Amino acid sequence: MKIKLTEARYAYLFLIPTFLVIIIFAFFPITSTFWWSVHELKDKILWTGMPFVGFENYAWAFTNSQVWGSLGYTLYFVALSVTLEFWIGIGMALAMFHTFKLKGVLRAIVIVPWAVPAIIQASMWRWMFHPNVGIISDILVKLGVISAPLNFLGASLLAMHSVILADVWKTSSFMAILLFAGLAAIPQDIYDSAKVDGARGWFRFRHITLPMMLPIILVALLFRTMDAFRVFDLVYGLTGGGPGTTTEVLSTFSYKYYFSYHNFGKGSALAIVTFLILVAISLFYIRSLQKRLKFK
Amino acid sequence: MVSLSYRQKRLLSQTIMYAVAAIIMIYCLFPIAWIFITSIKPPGAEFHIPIEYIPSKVSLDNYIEIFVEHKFHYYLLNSLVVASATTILVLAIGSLSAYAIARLRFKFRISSLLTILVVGMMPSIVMILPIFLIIRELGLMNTWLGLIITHAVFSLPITVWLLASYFAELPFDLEDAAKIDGYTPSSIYRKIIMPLSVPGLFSAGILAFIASWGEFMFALTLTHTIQARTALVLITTLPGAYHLKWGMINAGVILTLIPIIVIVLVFQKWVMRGLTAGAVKY
Amino acid sequence: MVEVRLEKVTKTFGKVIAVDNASLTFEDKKLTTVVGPSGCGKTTLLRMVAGLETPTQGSVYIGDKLVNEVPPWDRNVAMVFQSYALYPHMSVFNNIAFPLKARKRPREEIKKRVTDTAELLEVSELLDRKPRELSGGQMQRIALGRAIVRQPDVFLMDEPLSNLDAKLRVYMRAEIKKLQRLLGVTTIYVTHDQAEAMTIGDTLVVMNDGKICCIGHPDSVYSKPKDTFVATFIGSPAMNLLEGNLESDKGLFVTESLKYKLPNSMTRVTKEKGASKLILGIRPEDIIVENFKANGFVKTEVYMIEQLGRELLLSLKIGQHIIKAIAPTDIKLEIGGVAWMKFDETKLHVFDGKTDGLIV
Repeated sequence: MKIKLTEARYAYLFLIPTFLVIIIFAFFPITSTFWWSVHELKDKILWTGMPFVGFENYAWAFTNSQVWGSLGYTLYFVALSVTLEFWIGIGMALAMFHTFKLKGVLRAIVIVPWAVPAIIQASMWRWMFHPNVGIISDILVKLGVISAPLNFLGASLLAMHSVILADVWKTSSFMAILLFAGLAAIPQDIYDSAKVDGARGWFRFRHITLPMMLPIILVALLFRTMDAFRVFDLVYGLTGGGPGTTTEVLSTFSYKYYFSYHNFGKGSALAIVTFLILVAISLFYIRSLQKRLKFK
Repeated sequence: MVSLSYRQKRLLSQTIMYAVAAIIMIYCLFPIAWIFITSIKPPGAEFHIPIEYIPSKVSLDNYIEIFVEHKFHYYLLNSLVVASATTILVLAIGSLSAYAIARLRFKFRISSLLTILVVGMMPSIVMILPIFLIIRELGLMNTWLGLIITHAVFSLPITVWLLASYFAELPFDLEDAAKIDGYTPSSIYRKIIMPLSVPGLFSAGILAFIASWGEFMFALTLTHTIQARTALVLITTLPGAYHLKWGMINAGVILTLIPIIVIVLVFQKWVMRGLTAGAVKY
Repeated sequence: MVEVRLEKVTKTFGKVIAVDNASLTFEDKKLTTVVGPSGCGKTTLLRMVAGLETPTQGSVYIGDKLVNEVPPWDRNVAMVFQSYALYPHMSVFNNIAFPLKARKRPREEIKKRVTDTAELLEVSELLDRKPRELSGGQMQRIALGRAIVRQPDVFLMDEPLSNLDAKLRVYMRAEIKKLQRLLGVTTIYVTHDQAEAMTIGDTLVVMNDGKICCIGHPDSVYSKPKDTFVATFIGSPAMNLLEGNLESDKGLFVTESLKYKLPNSMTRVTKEKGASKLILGIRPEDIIVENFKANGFVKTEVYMIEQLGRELLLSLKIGQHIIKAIAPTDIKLEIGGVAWMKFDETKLHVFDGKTDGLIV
């Protein structure tokens, strides 16, 4: 006998594989990480005998200056990187939109940095920042900006900004793609009408283009903020958190606690902190998303 | 102030725009071009001072070395297998869920979509250790399968989201007509939704492929040897031991980049559509 | 005095010629309608006056000034778009105020002029709303308001009423006409709807295929169409056209299935012009139909009867020809039955069969 299913039952059936995967490989892991974060869990102590320590690891995290330093750099990284890539991205999007004959070529080229994997990007920039034969130093010397090659990744303040510069190269390309789509979605009639109404250049951009793009700008910024917060590959590959711990971001710092120090309890606490900050951002994101959700 | 005629003004603004366009092209392509130039210098020449912007001697020795010394083709194969299999897996289970969310009526539609989306927003770092242990328990350490499953987890949310927005665009009349003709949701999915959604599947598939090809944290943690290690992990581990072999490393970078840059350029339309589908329209 | 003058204006997009060597003058303080089928170049013509397109060749003058190179924001023209193009993120007040703000008018003046305009258009209570909260008719009024608030030299209207339902469209036609009289601003009004063009325009310009076919008062364009295109495009239902030859000695117009004696005066003029292949044109309302045989009437078969409300539209069959005619509703006819018809000889048009031009 054939079993008759209702539409809802079909839906649940179709959702089973996805939910199986995300429960085993996402929700269960997060719960475990949280569980470990309230235990003392170091390589010396056997996993079976891990003592419960409550929020001791968190207390450690909030009093440790290196953790604060890493949180501080993560926030600085997010703020500066997202700001820079937004303005560069919008400039690129406008150029893509207004150079009619080059539109196709430019679009193809702008998308390239986005496709470069972050870890490869790290390797590329590491070579370009090379202390002796780095091309960036060489060009700056030739232009007379600096007198001798700089060790971009060796001095803390310089390294902090070099990482951001390398990040912006890839992410501004993503920004440009999103913002270009936003620009292209504004009806031509609206532009034409604004022109006839007497709005020129900057006035038109400020009062028509920018407000009309606001929804997509918001999405792009939130999207990038979350992504920048999770940054791992670039920092790992470019500086490894150094010099010292000046370019350490939350992700690379907890990775170190896991796989270098084998202090799984503290590493987990750090990971959970990162996670909670992201949850806060994503709740904000989902709320703004829910308002526009098309599926009724 | 010199006042310009309208024609001059327009010419000037056009000139500025094209100048900006030229700067953008250099900005986007220069790093890759420089890596390529370094990679075709003879080994050792990359450290010559003054730096040669145009190599005086072109050689493929760096490429030969990475293939001969490090068997780079095996690593590329690992990357290719993992990325392709991840793409197929993610499309298979993602499209089913997306179909349910976009087209079927049930109580927890929005909440299940949001649950899936939340996974996409989680940082990898919070899952790395438990997944490492799970994969080890399952005996999948240093295997293709272990990496494929993990990559699928991270590509699923965006895939479901993209496909759900794609499916939602298809006219509901098609489905109603099929229902009246006596088709069940599973046959509607196979016979109507799937064939109509090829472009959407294509977009989502390309994004999943690129994401898997470029994934680093799990590939680094879950694979150790030539058996399963992906190309970009090898490149990253090279400088430690071979810090004087930047020519070879850059050859590896170029080899790893070629497939995805080709994909992105050839399927530009689909990539753009995939990237912006979630953001421009909901 | 602001008249808009085009001299030998051509606009091409790649290989497509949108406007082909157009010369005409839009008179000061008059409402000129430009009508033609879609793709005839009428919107491109309008956009060139607005400055949104630059002519490939030729000159556009507003007043006495050559404006080819002047961008739209420096021409004092206002435009109403088919889609209304209201700025979705601004309130109605700010939408109407936008052209004034762009010109950096003082705040007080903006407030006063927007309020006055809103009163004139009876939309004062809508000023705080966003465009998405408005009905189609209201959006239309706001778009008009945005155009008139700045007292432009020229109004440009690109199918402003085509997104409204039929009833509202007829109402707004009269409103626009009234408004234009009141303000006395030179207006160019583009539409594909010939009835709208006829009723609203002081002058009617008919375009086809990028070319200007004719310019004139709506009445004269209707009663003396320049060629067969204008004859069929203007007027609904369209003029009947019959192709045939003139047997000049007898003054007979002959087609495959019809012989018709032309009035002598017409035969004479046609002979003078030396045309033998002819197209005979007669409007449906200029055909008299009876259900009995009378003197000078031709026998036809009733092919189709359509109710138009206050009259009937008949399709009458003579041999190969189907002729449309208007008849009063009280006439007794049946589909497949017989009807008798007669052309009103004073309303006949004769076109040259080779050039499509009007002879008489």
